[in-house]
Amino acid sequence: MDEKQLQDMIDQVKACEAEIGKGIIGQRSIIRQVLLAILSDGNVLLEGVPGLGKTELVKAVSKVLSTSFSRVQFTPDLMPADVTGTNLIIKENGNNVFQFEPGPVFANIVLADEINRATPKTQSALLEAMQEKTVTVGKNTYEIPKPFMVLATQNPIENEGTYPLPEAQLDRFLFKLLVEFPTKEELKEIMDITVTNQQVNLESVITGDDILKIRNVIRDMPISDAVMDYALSLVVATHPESETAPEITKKYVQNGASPRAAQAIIKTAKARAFMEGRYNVAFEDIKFVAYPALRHRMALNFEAVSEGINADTVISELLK
Amino acid sequence: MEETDLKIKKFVYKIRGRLREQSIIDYLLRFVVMGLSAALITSVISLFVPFYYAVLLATVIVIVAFITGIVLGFKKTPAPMEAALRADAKGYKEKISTAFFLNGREDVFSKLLKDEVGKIADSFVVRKEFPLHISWNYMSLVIVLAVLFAAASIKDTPAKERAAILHTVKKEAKDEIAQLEKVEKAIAENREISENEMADIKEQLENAKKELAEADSREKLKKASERISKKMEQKSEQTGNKTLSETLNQAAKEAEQRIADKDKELAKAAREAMEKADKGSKKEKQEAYKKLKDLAENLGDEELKQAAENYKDSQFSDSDYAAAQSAMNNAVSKMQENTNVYANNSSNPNNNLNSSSNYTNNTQGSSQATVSNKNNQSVTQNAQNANQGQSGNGSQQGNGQGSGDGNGNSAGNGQGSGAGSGNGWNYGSKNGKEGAKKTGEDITVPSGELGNDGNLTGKANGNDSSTKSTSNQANTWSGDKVNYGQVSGKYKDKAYKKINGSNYPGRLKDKIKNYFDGLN
Repeated sequence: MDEKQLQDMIDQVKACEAEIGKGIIGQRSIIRQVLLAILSDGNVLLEGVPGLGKTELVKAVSKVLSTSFSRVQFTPDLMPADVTGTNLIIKENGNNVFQFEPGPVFANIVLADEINRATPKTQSALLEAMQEKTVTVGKNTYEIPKPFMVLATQNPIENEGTYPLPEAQLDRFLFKLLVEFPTKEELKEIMDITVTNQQVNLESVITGDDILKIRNVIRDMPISDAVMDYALSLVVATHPESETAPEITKKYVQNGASPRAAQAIIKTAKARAFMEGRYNVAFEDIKFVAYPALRHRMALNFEAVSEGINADTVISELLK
Repeated sequence: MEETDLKIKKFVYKIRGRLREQSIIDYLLRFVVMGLSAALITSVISLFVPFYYAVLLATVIVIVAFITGIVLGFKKTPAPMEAALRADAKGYKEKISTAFFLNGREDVFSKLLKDEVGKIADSFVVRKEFPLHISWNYMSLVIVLAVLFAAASIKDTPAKERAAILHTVKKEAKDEIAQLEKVEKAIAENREISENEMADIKEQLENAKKELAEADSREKLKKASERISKKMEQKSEQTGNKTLSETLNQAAKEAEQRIADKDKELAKAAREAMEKADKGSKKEKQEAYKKLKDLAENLGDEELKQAAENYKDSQFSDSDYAAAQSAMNNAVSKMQENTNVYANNSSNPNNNLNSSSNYTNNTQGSSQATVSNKNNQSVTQNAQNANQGQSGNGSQQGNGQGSGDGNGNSAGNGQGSGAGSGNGWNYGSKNGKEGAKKTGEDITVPSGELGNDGNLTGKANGNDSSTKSTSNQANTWSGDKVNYGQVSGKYKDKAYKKINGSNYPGRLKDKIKNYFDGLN
């Protein structure tokens, strides 16, 4: 690979980001972070109140990436088989045989809408798919097409009849993104598009194969010891039992981030450097990805909750 | 690729070199401030407390602080990677440090990154990006502290003068002790000395050394030396061991010679300094003051000391110069007379009367006290002394030295050992008999101590009476010399009374009693 090929890839990703931005007004940072997760082979949990365009974002991403897309609306009566697929009895040459019918998880991009409304049993049906990229039904294991990623959404307000995601499952999400309410100007633009006949046609600018290639390239992005050390120190500092943990961690954090957090930070920091057109990872990349990579991996104690301290506050302190 | 690696390495080390310079400046300033602070404290202390080596110590502290600052600044130079990161902080987003870290790697990213950093290195002006920063706060502090330190070091105070004197005294005491050790060694080689005598001599020498070591003024040192000399002389006369006698006698003479030489040396220095001070610079006048003071201290001459102080206090006025000159001449004359007395006493043991007359004359002086004998000799002498401006001591009236028919307490006849103790004056022995072989012992009485004329037994003017005059306004000075025979009995009585009615430990009482008994 030469410099030109590398630059082409960078341009492709930038074009992808710009194209998604056409369909999703505002939310630039969210778009950037979703793309980082895609380039880092990770899953994303989007949290925000209804109507902020979470589903639209996922659809737009799917369209621009030119990949297969499926959507699962999670409800309390949703069964695991409804997600992974199931064996059906069919007649073949006069005999009844089992045939696997793939569920919606067999797509490149899966939108798990309101994931916290499904029972833990159904939620955990996604675990294997998210981590191993495979689905096991009966005695057979089926591979999910690549690239694969789950984009799940959850509503932070309505807690009635919901099943908060267990820590193990949260840890499998590379990023947890907080979708903010758009600004007034952004809201106006949204109105212009959605309540008029104006149409936004998104074009596919990149394929699944391209994504896989870019992922491989990004893995080779160099990172110096100093930057790596900074990232690891950050993760270690989330553990209250650590000697290097600051006061805020000791006071408010119950459990620190797992090693997956360190992997997530390094992987996505590399992807960010790539998207920025750099050939190395900088401290600012680490800082940028620290929030989405750490916020769902730290368990805060009761004192933090009672004092209104959230994970982002702790992370901000750690980054100082 | 290797070329690029080398280029990046050189670039990073260049930055590191610059950071080293900054580090040295920072540490140097910090440590110099600390050093100067410590030096200033030392210097200020020396303004009030005698400490001869204060300036030297302060200078050493500053030098050590200076060197430590440089060494630490050098040692605290950032590592190459840290230097690269510092350069990255100028907006290069860790490109330089990563490129430096990727030394030897040849993948696409490394190559592209190194090429980019190579270009950065070309346009990077280290001096511009890392200008040497001097903390003006520290710099101002350094200047202020240095000025204060210099001022405190230069300023002359009584404590500093005292420190200088103490230093000289200790040095001279050391020399004297070395001489005593030589004597001790010589005595130790003498196989004919009995164990008891050897132990006694050793004890006396040890005491002498201790006394010398404890001397903290020229006056005390001189008196200690004189006492030691007398003791050795006395011991040399008492012992039956001829070799020992010669050794001690020789040592005593040498000690006396050293004392005399020292007096002469100081007198010469004072005279030269005064000559230079006449129409000389302030520095020369200051030097003259110091020399006068040294001489006064050595001779225990309060008049000269006062004249020197007046000379200094009046900002070296001409009138005080003349007064100081006169006081110096008097002191030198007196010193020479005393030297002659020593010489005469040594050469002719039968001239006690003459020597006593001299003592009387010296002590009378301005009080114009006279003791007339049948020959009327001392009248003339006293007048002469008074005219010469010698300060007298009215309190020493009526000693009747040298007069009469020889039954009186003629000065200088005692058997006194002359060993002093306490505040620098000796206690003489009992009154001796006239015509005894021993020469007069000089002792010192405290200033203001009145003489006792009860012992006058001379038959002056053939009418069995003496004439005397007393003046309470007479100049006195501490350390005036009289024959110890005149005061020893009184001091002994005083001492006995004092210890009998006191809570002194028995051992100490015994020691005091033994001392006075020993004088007998």
